[in-house]
Amino acid sequence: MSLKAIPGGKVVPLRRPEGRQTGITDISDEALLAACGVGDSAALGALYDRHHEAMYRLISRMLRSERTEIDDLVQTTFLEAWKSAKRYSGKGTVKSFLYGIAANTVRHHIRSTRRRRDALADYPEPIADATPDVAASRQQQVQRLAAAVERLPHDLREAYVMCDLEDVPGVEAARILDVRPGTLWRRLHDARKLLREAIGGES
Amino acid sequence: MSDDLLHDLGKELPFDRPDAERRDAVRASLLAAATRREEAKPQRWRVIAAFGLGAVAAAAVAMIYVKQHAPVTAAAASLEHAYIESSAGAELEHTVAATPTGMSEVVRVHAGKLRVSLAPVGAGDRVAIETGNARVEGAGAVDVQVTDDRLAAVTVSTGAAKIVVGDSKAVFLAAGETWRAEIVRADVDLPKPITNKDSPTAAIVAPATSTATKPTVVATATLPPITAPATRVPAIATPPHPSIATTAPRTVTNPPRETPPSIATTAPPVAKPDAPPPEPAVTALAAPKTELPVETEQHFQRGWKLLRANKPVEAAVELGRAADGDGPIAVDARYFQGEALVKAGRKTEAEKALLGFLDHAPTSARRGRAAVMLARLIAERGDSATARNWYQAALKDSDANVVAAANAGLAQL
Repeated sequence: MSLKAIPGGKVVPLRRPEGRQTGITDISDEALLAACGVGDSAALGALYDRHHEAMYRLISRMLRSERTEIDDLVQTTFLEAWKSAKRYSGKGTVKSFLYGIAANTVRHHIRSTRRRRDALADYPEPIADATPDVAASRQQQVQRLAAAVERLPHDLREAYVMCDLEDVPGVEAARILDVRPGTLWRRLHDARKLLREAIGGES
Repeated sequence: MSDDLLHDLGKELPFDRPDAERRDAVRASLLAAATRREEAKPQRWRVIAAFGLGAVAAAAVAMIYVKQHAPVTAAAASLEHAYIESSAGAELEHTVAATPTGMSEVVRVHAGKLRVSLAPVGAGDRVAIETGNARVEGAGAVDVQVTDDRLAAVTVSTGAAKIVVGDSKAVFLAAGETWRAEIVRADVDLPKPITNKDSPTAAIVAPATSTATKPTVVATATLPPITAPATRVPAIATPPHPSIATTAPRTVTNPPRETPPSIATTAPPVAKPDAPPPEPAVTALAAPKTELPVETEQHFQRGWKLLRANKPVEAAVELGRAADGDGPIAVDARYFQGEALVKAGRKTEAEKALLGFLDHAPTSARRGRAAVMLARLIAERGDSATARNWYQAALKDSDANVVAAANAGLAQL
């Protein structure tokens, strides 16, 4: 028997002890999403537990914003997934399904606020460090890359984040972003070109 | 620079990695939002039902579709999990034990308010909420209030619940039903008819500290001890009887009736030297902070505006949502929900809302008005004796209009 105090003010899952034959880890993403479709909020919680890190990573790389705003967007993403779970067709993975919702959520957020692009334009250029150390040099490159990604137009940025940073296959990324594969490849090519130029080009 | 190097560099880009607190906060908020959507579904279903057989057929097709595409899905997920969403001040423990028949999960609640999402469990398994004196089992979304280790109230939003208090018979609740412990009901016990000889007004408004300023009244009144439960009489927060007021003027007055209600209207009467002591059980119920105070307030403000815009049906919905929260705003929301329901002509629900308000607001300045409204509703359905008691309770209100209305009501009985 296990006994533990539950902190107040939180949603706490009441989990069965380990060793059960059908623990939550045994349930596929597709099953959890289907459970969401019939109103099982526990399944939504499990889905969140499984994929929230990826959504935070994707959204925070697509949009430079306050933490609270990122939190809101992640929540909106999962809430949209909860609402539209029944529309999941089984094409692509559930993670891709969530990526698609996250990308749309970010896009809508940018459209509705508009000020985002201006804010990105004000992003300060990282100050170059003259240290000849190799590690420092790589760190500089990462910093320059981060700044350059911030300055990318959003369509190029989402293609780069989706394909290069999240390693989503191109065809699937095109479906997620609702563009033709050719368009996606062009955007990815343009994004990489701009990023290479920004971080020092041909070295 | 090659694409590979760019790819490798990209992997090192920083990103927002939430700490456990942020992650849990978003998770809690997410599940609360999802649960609210689920609760709203019954209303939508009524609308959908109007589409008749076509909608039923569509639902059947949808179910078949889900079953075909996810054979181990909803049921499997449901069977394994339940969720508990507790108020900030809640004290609870979770016990998991293996029994000969299956797994037994018990959430032992000592105090506070919680919302439990209980999925149906398999045969032999059990998930229960326990307090010092009761046990709650069931499936669906259930709100449980516990005060001083005793079950105070249970409200079933969806599904059903079974309540067993001590050795008494089990009580079964369906969606939309509420069970309240007797200790809470005691607050609205009605007084005996008022006589000139032992005016309960004097008893209510005379605390021990004020005896020096009004010796005559206090010395002759048959006062209960200060520690006696003030809930046994309707604790209407009214100024003292005029004769007492002349010797001990009040410093707190009722707010204007048409101003938006605020927390102050139901705040405990700490500044009132002649107010009754707060009732412990009910105060403890109202004490836990709400999970989403901003939302509660937003619902309240919307409801209040709708009420003033003469849209009582919509107002009742918003105010009902606000009343689901905790704290003084929720208490006020119950009153205005009652008012909205009266205006909307939904008398039974109005009666429940007003009783709920009177249960939870022992010191509110609106008790008199609520008592009159409630008395009218009760009188309309023919229960003159109960109506009389509520009118008499309203006679002690400081508002002359309320007293006049109560007198008029009494005259009509």
